[in-house]
Amino acid sequence: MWFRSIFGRKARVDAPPPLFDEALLRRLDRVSLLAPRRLRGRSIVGEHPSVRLVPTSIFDDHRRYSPGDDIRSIDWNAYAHQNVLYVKLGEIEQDINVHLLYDRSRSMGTGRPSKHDAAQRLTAALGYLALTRHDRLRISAFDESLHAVFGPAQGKARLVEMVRSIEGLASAGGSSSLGDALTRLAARHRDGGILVIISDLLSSDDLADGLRALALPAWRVVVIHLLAPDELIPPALGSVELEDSEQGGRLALVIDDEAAAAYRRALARWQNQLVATCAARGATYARVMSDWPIEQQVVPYLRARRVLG
Amino acid sequence: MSLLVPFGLLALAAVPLILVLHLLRERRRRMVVASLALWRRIAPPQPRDRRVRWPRWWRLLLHLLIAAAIALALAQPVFAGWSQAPARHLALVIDTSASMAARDGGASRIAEARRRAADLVRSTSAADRVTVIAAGAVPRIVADGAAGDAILAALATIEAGGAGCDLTAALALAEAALAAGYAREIVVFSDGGATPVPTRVGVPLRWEAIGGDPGNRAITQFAVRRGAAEVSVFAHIVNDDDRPLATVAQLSADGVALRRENLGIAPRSATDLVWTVQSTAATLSLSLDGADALPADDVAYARIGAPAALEVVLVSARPEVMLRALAAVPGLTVRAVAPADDTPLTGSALVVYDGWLPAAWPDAGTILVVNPPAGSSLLAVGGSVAPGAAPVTAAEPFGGILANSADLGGVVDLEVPPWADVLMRADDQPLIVRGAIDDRTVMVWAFDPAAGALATRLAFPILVGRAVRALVARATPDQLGVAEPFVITAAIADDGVRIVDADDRVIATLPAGTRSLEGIAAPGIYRIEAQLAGSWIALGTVAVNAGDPREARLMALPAPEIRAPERDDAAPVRPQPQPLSPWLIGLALIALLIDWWRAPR
Repeated sequence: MWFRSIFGRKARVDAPPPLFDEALLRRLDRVSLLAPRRLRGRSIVGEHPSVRLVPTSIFDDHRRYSPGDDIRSIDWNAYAHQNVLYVKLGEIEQDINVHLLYDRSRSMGTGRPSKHDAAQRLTAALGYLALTRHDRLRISAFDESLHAVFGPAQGKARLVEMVRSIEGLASAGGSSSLGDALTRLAARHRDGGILVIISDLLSSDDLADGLRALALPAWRVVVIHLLAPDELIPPALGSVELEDSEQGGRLALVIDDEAAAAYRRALARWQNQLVATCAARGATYARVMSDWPIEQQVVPYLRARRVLG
Repeated sequence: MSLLVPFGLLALAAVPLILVLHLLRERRRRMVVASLALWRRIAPPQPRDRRVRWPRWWRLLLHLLIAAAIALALAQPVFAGWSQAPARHLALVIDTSASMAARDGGASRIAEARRRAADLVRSTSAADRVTVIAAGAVPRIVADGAAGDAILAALATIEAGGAGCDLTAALALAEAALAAGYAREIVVFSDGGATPVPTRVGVPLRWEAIGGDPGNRAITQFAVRRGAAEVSVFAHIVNDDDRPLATVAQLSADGVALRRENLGIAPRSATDLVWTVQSTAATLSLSLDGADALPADDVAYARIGAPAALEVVLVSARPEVMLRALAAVPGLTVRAVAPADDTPLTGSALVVYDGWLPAAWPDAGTILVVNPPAGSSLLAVGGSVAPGAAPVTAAEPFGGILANSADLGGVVDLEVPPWADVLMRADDQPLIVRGAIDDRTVMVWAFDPAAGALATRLAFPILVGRAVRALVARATPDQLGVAEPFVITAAIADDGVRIVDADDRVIATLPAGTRSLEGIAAPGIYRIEAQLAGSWIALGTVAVNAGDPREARLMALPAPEIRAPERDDAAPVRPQPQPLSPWLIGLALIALLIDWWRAPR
């Protein structure tokens, strides 16, 4: 109606904040994803350590010469001393597969600030780290199924493409199934790598099954549990009617001090279950609040959790 | 439904306000959360607080209902849809004839009628109206008003007595007394036999039969006449019983037994007694030995002898015409005297001045002035006039005697005194006036009977006779029935009248100026006395008897055939306005309680 323009709340026309700024980039240039040596990668341009040793001039180990070995890597000094041919073995660096799994369920759109925005910024930051370290980056999104969003890609040249892909993500789906998504991801990418799950884990009943498919040592799984501040603390006291963002169900209840305490206890129990599940499957659990700034809080926190190095 | 205060509906403006507040409250309370999974884990304890399970729009409806109920209550709606039977107006017609005094067992019939009527009054509601009518020979309304103690008190005063019950007049009176707008009904309490009986009445009629069939003996007639030396006595005695009557009739003179006679009367028959006795007593009484259901009619009283003749003094120079007319009036002793101021008038009941007037009114109580002379200081009389054959208009007691003034001669132009009223006139010419001067009653004829043809007409003695009776009427009747109303006709200015029984007990006292009496309840001989100058003088003696042929038979008769409607079709079925405000306030309070109980806290 015509008067809506008068009385209606004016729509926000502010542009969304950029996924990166200069300070963040400078901060990210000083960190990288920590990848365990056991991960299998390709030693082309990677910077991650590998468990494989190959004959090289810069060595840190020896083994007996075998026919077929490059004679340039024979340690003649050792042969002079011991009259036995040894080959100098050196550690090689590898690039690894980095999978960023983005939860695009509708529940990610809740919270203040939105978990969706925080997940976008976190995905972009981690993707930036992967691209700058020449890892093969794949960004997937899941809701009720698994969707490929970006990659595989390597190198900074794909950065702009990655950012646009991330910006195109939206929490448009209904509910999500994390376990099914993990199973599908593991089936598609048997090479393994680093998998960073960015989700609010509200559909994580089958998380254990999904993590089982991402077995060690091929995978290093990092579960970043995004929570909004108002999910950590009950939103309000009094009589409220809560509406499920995904299912649409409603629950009317009275939140008093007792109920708020019960909610906090339930949340703590749920988090403990998630931590235990992740620990049982060798995954790293990290709870990140949606209002944390990336460079000031998220990066230090992930470094402390040895996700970044 | 109508609204007494329509402006109260302005409170309905709260309805949209409640809607807006609910919408605002709804928006503030609903919250979208990522998932309800965690909340559902703490939700199960909530069933102890079931209030929140109500849909929120139920509370909205409840609040709207409260606001609407209060707004409507402020408008004071009145629902007129329910109709209610109208209030009743009962006319209780109680037969007060002498037969109602009979006792069929313990209580008398009139007491039984009073009891039933009182029960009926007590069964009515406060909105009902009751009219009590005593149906005697002359029915009268005893009480009229809302059913209550006043009606019950009036019922208690009704006594039986008197001969006859004019049921036609009583029912007509009852029908007229019943007010419109009520459910009217007439209830008759009677032992039957009332006459006359109407053939129909216009309102519902209920007949409450009173009494049984007891036998009765009665002296229905008792008359005495004084002869030259003896007194003749006549009595009619009725035996209204299935058994023969054997009794003794005793005649007493002034309370002293004079004669006794054994009587034997066959069942359902009567006998006459004719006696001639020597007595100089003033009263005689006849009584029957024994007792029956109605003892009042077992005794009868009578006053002996005619009263002494009234003395009339005719003062006239030419008394022939008036003397002849006065002599024809029975009971008068006329003495003609020549006009003179010192004529002794002591002891005369009536003084007639014919063509002459004294200088001052005499001490006589009643004065008739015929053809007043001109120049008198007592009356302003002009010259002679000739009314011709003008039509005559007359009031009682002279109505219907003269049609016109053609036979009148010697008509004088009389100026009507301020103390007098005109009783007869021809056109504007007064012919007869009457009034009171001090203690005197004066009547003036403004014409000369001897001058015209009136003295030769039959109308003349009638005119004289009515004038005399109007001036010197007997003060009391000779005989009365029990409870029979009568009027004391003594033309004296007394300070009050009282009635004294044979034992010198005063049974009633009338204030000065009151002449009518409701009646005397018990049979006997009573003296009627007037107070003059501080002393009581006897006006006369009256005998009161209960015996009457119409009341001698005590057998209760069935209800007479009187057509009456089953119900009062004229009774309006009035819708009873029902105020709805208390119900609406109650509804609002209940809704508030429910809301308070269900409201989340």
